[in-house]
Amino acid sequence: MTNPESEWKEYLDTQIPKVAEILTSHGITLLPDQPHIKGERFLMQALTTISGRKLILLGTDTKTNEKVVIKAAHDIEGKQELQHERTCRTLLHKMKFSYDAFHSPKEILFIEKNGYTIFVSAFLEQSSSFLERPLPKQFAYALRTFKAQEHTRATTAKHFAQIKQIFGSRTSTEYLSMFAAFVSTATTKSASLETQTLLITAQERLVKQRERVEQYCGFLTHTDFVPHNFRIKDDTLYLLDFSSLRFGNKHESWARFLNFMTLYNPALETLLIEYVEKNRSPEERQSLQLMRLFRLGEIITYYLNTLDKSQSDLRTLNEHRIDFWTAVLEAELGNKRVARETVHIYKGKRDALRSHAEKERQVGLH
Amino acid sequence: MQLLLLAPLFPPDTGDPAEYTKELCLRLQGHIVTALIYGHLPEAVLGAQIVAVDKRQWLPKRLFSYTLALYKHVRTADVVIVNNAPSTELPLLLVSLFLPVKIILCESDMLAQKSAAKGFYHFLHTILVRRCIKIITLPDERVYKRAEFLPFSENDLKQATERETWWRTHVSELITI
Repeated sequence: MTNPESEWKEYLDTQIPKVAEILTSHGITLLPDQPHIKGERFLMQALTTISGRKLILLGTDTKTNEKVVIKAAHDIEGKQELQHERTCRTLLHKMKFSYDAFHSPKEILFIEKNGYTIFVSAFLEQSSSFLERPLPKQFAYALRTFKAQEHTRATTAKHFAQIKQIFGSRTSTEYLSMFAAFVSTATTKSASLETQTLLITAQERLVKQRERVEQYCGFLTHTDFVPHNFRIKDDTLYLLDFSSLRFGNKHESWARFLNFMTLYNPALETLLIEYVEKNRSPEERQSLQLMRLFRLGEIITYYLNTLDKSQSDLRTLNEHRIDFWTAVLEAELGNKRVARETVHIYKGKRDALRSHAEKERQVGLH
Repeated sequence: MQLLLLAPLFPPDTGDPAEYTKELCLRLQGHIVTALIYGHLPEAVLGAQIVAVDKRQWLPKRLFSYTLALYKHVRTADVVIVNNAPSTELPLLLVSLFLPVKIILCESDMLAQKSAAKGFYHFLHTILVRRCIKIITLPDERVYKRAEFLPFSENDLKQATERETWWRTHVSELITI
């Protein structure tokens, strides 16, 4: 059996010098410390190779002496992803029905050279990370961004024709078929009986309330809307990852963000749910709940898929992760928040089992 | 009283006419209200019938479907309240050629209002305006939009009172014909 970690190291050893050589000819040098290739990054790469391998590096533009972010890919899928991300970014700024487009960091360089596609953008220095900011600020930024996404909806045939090829569009049919695949993975990977049962219960609910999922489809949504995918500078939120933009249920990005906050900031999770309950229609609240179940199914599946690619402490940690997200799923199925004690216990186990390199990668990430 | 509301948008779609029309449906409780809107799976309003024409159809087809639905519902309406937009005004104008209709025009969409200054829509809008019994331009959205309950901020009681007063006057203006 191949070891994904050593495979990743080998990949880095061959690719980084070649990327560095191309960048040098364009006046960009790599920083000695590269946090985004460390720790559990190899596992993410191993599970997302379908969308291509991609290096995320930090460097300096020697002309301006400013820090830059570099995304580089060599394989076809990785290069396509970088090109796709650029197309999404450009199209989003052009769409007539996208009134409140996301801000993006300034593009410095986009080249295709020696078989590599390389994208370089300005590094946005933040005064503090998202989670270090005061709770009212976190709430305001999150809500503002969700509202901006809500104002972009493809409603007419013309809109759909414009977006479908580029962003892709998820309807209730796609959500249900993806969830069916999550349930199937739980069976094939021999997940615990509890996990399997809860996933089936969630699936039944999604099927039963399919129309509610469909009702809020057609909106611009970010499938990975979490603090490490955006940065805040001068009170403006900049999106870093445009490849995860889709047209789908508008609560998909809310759900991803709320699930993340279950672990990192439950107070913000509670505030956002209360906001929806007090200000939005009951249908919206229901749709949000359904999308949370969907995303929880997805994260459990993600960690089930990591098990045969991880060893020793990391494997034990991933088993705990499955148990933790199963507990969150159980709570959400009852429209309750998972007990803070459960979060606390899980965090203790996670911190004890995380590798030193992963701890380094996590510093200032969120 | 039977009221027929025409709107180019309705929640979950966003935009001024969408929010205004949903709130108006809620405020007209006690009357028989039908909202004929463009959209797909609209949000429900207790006591109001929401009839949706799917916007995902090609333009000529959806205009035809809307006109047909309007023709069907307008017969029983005492008054038609139309939000300004080419997609609502054109079908209404066509139907009003064949059936007697009391029309109140609510200028809820300022972007559409601006585009009514020239071209075919200007022509259409000018004819419709002549057929209206009342024309109401909505004030700034802050006057009529439902205030949000937000953490870390006090609710503006003065603004809430002004909003309630505006809505009372507005509803009375709409039902007094």
